[in-house]
Amino acid sequence: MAGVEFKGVWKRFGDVVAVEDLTLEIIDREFLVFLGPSGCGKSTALRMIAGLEEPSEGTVSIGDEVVNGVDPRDRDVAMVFQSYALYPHMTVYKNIEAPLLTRPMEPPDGGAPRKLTKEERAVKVKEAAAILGLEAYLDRKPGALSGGQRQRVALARAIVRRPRVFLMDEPLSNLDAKLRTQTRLELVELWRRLGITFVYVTHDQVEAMTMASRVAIIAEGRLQQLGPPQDVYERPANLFVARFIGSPPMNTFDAVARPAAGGMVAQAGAAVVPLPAGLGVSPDQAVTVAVRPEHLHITADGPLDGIVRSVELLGHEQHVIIEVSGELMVIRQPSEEPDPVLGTTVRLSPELGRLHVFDQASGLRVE
Amino acid sequence: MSLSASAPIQAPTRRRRSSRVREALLGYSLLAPAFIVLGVFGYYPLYRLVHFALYRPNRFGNGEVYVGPSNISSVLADEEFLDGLWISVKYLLYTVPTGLVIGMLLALLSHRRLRGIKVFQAIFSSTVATSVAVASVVFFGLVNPKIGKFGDVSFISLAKADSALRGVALTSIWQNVGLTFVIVLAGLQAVPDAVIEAARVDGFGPLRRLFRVTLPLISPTLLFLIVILMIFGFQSFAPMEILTHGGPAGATETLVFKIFQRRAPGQISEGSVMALGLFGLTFVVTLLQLTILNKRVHYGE
Ligand SMILES: Nc1ncnc2c1ncn2[C@@H]1O[C@H](COP(=O)(O)OP(=O)(O)OP(=O)(O)O)[C@@H](O)[C@H]1O
Ligand SMILES: [Mg+2]
Repeated sequence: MAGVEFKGVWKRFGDVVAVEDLTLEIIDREFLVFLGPSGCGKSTALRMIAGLEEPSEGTVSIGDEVVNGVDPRDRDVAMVFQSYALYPHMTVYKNIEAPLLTRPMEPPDGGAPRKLTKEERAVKVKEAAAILGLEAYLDRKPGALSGGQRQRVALARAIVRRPRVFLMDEPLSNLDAKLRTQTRLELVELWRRLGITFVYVTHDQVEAMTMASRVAIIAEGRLQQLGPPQDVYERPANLFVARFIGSPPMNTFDAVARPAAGGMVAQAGAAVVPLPAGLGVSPDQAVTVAVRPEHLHITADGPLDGIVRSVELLGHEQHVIIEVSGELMVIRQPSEEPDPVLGTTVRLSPELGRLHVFDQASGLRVE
Repeated sequence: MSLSASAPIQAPTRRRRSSRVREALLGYSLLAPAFIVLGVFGYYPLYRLVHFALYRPNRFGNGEVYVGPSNISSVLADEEFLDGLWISVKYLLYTVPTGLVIGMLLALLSHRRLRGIKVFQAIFSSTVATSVAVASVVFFGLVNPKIGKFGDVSFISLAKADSALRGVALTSIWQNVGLTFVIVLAGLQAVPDAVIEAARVDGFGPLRRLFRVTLPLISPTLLFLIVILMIFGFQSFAPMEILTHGGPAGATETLVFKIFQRRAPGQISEGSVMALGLFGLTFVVTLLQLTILNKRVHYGE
């Protein structure tokens, strides 16, 4: 068991910068999720922990030990690959047993670490297979399993040892929606039970929000924000995070900060939206104002006005799409609310305390 | 509804039938060149072989006598045939494992992402593109007892009966290395990187990775290679013809070489039986390898 630390880590592939100056401490026993769009460098970051890629610059540590240049097999980590990477010529049993063959480790009945005997390995394999419900498939080869079963074998192969860190690269991406939801729960359960650090890569924000102790949001190789999912959702550190997290995404509009009678306001064309008191904006500062769809409401006297373009009914809620001076905004409201009539003009008011304001030049959050 | 529908159905049926005939004709006409080539160069010679095995032509080639199946059994039991067979088998033992191991090692060494590795890959593959005759002449220049640079290395000396076959085998080994290299390299490139990476994370060292993961995954390729190299080995002729003419004292007269020597009308019957024997042998060896090894070989899903 151990934490992981990136210190000033860069990774370049020729001219491509995959990871840029990453400094990040992953705490022992936490469930850290790397979240970001495709190609942002999350797999590369994970592979540097595994030792499958070497940093071009900076250091990676596991526990208190700098592991730059240490071979993957000496790092004591386990990894679940996106493609599962099972050994196709071995049975499920042999696949799960593989990590036990070479390393000295604690025998099933306790005692000092040593190479396990065949019988001791069998105990461990059966245990891991039982946790993942694979007992019935031990004699099959991966080719004769479904995607979900293969994914379980990959997980079993990882948990058969107790490594210092678990690394998972989009392990659920090949599963159907139902299996994904179920496996998500099982993974969190597994993490609680094992008490081992998990580092998990995904581009799916639902996975990140539901499983993570903390999320590290990455875009174009740079760390954008690090924090518990709720914090990241409620207080996005910059415009990228604001627009990336949340579905439907945050509504944004550009405005200029102006002093007014009751404090600062954001002026966008004719619309004047009051800003929360004590916000650190200066007069005439160009800002981007953002508000989540659930914090925007149709009211009689709201500061914004727009035309209703469509209404999406989802059963438990409805999304109303409104065109506000050429931009589309989404309102999320309970389905009991009256359906707005298409083509009519409505007034909108954001909840004052729920506004997010970003400096337009830097994209950073203004508090 | 059903009445009105039944009328237009008939026309398409007829049209469909005639179009199917046309399709079949087109198919056969596309296959025809292959049939003709196979017939002229494959089946007709095989038929002639069987014919000559049963009918012995006279010395001048203008008449023949029926000699019957007893001819076949007597030739196959004859010392000449068994001698040629033994030399051929030795030739396989010299050429197949050596070529396979060296070619495989080169492929394993050059299967990595290094700058300039393509140059080595091209060099190692080049022996495939060289004709056997040219390769034989090159080796003749190297191991010729009189002028060759390695002419006096006794292990491969062409001048002595007990080492000449090894000298001749060099040509085939050299060619097998290239062929093995190309095919094994292609096999290695088909192994998913992630599986090898998984093995690294699972704690497998380079040797264990090689024997437990890489080799099993390319085993279909290796099986194919062994079959091909054995067939090539049984069939090789040019190296003996160019380097030793079968000598010294018949030490390099492989089965194919002996068959080639028996092409005069008076001997062609004996030669044909030998050729049939070689055909049967190759057939059985291939079949055995495919069935026995198939069970032990992994084929990816
Ligand atoms: N071996 C490599 N050689 C060259 N470029 C690479 C290599 N591996 C990754 N890259 C580049 O580095 C960048 C980050 O890649 P990475 O695989 O880490 O992305 P990712 O965030 O995991 O994306 P995805 O969600 O699509 O898996 C990409 O632009 C990719 O093209
Ligand atoms: Mg990836």
